Amino acid sequence: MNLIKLSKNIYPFGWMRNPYFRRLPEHYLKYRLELTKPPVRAHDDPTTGDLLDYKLVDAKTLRIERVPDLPVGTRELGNSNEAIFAGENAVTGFDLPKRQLYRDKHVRNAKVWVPNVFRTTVYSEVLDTYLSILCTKHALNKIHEAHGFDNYILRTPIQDLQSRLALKLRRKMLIALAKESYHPNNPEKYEIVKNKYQDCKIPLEEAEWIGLSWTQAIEKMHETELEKHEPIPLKVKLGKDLLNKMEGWKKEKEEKRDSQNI
Amino acid sequence: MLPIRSCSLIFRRNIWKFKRYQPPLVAPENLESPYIVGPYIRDRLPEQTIFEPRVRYDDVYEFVKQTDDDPVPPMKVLLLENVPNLGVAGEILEVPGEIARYKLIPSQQATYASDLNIKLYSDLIQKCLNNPDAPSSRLSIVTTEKLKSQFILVTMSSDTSWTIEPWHIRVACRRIGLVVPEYAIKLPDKPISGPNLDYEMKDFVIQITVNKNPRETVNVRCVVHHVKEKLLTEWHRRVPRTAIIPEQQTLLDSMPKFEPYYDDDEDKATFE
Repeated sequence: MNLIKLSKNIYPFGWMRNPYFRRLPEHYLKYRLELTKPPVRAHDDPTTGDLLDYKLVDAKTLRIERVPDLPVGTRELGNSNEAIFAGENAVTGFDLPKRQLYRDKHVRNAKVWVPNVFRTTVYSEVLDTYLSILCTKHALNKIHEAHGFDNYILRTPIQDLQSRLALKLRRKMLIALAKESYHPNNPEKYEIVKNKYQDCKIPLEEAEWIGLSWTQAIEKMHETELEKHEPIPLKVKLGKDLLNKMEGWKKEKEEKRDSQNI
Repeated sequence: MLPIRSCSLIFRRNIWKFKRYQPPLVAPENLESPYIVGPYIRDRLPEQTIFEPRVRYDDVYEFVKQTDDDPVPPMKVLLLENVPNLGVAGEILEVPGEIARYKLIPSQQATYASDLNIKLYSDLIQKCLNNPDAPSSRLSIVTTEKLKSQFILVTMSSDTSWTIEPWHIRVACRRIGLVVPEYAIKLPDKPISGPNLDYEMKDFVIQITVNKNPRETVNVRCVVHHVKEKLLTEWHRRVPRTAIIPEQQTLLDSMPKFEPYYDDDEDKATFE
């Protein structure tokens, strides 16, 4: 009898079963769950039938058939985590040849379609800096549709960003918003930024955890746990108690002497 | 799969959309295996066919569209500073997308004209609307500056009698390349009539209003010329400049002029 098959798998992902990972704060795990959602597809449109992904074949017998919805095969670029491509990737697949002669023989050519990458400068209002980033035309379109770089980083769903750099910038911006450390010398811009990104604001404890990898998060958890209950060795603890007691004895003796002298 | 580094197989494109050459196969719900023999196959529906082995076209993609050659759409922009040849602070206007992307927004001269931004910068927009000295349009500054330094040559007949009317000046402006409607032209109160050869190459001042805006009236210099007289080279640089109406002489001297031009050959001929 296979016991593993009988026991239902409650957790869809492997890390959820790990008890060590479940010690991490709840908001971090919620953020991790959001990352696993399917992102918006850049390279193809999803196929839709009459009923979501089913198609009505016979109206008389009401027989339905499944419409397969497979996204095209993609592969991550090497520098996708240090750049902002907004879900663009290299597409790997096949293409049919031009000649009919080869087509009849069922020939297919392997191909890789790679996006055209260039470097530009963008301005972020919250951090008050100019950033030179690698990006594509598609990413620039997305940034301008969202009315600015800050809006794109802060307001798009996390699963659509698709790069570690964007998540890192998001963390920095959210920390700046929580601490209100933007534009310290310019009161006019301070109020504009405060009103503009009011609804993106989250508490500082949550903001510091966004965009961390598993290893970074565990290191941070160790630090916070150490601060809460720092283990003190008994040697130190008992020694301190003894010293405190001895000081008390000294005071008592001095008081007795003073009272006798008087 | 192939390694990405192989350069001969790389096709550099921007965002692209694909379509499958052939929809991928899906097993019918009732049919578990095509190799089952017996009453199961006998009773099946006519649409339920057994799969034959076929060439795999599952990974073959057809090219649908690419956005590499698409033009950048124009963008609505709210100006935060006075930008030359474009507008004043607090003005909302539509500019070409590339200018907004690469020039105005990174340099913080402008922001996006979204609903939230318009609400935040409402004070600046109101100040722009209530400003009495603001130009009426983005090109009004350029046109007024151009009109000030213009020498309009009004060619008139040397046989039939005439008095100068607005349409004479409209035609003269059109010959230079300026389109001036008649209602924008205001002539001096004293009428000028001819033909009179004393007025040849002499100036008078008219007023042109831009965009029907009384604040943007410009004094423009006009020069009278008869058709049958010879037009000298560099006529607009000749001195002295005298006014037809003597009251306008002081005004003419204050207006912009070109560098004076002296023709040596003509001077010699006059001395001899």
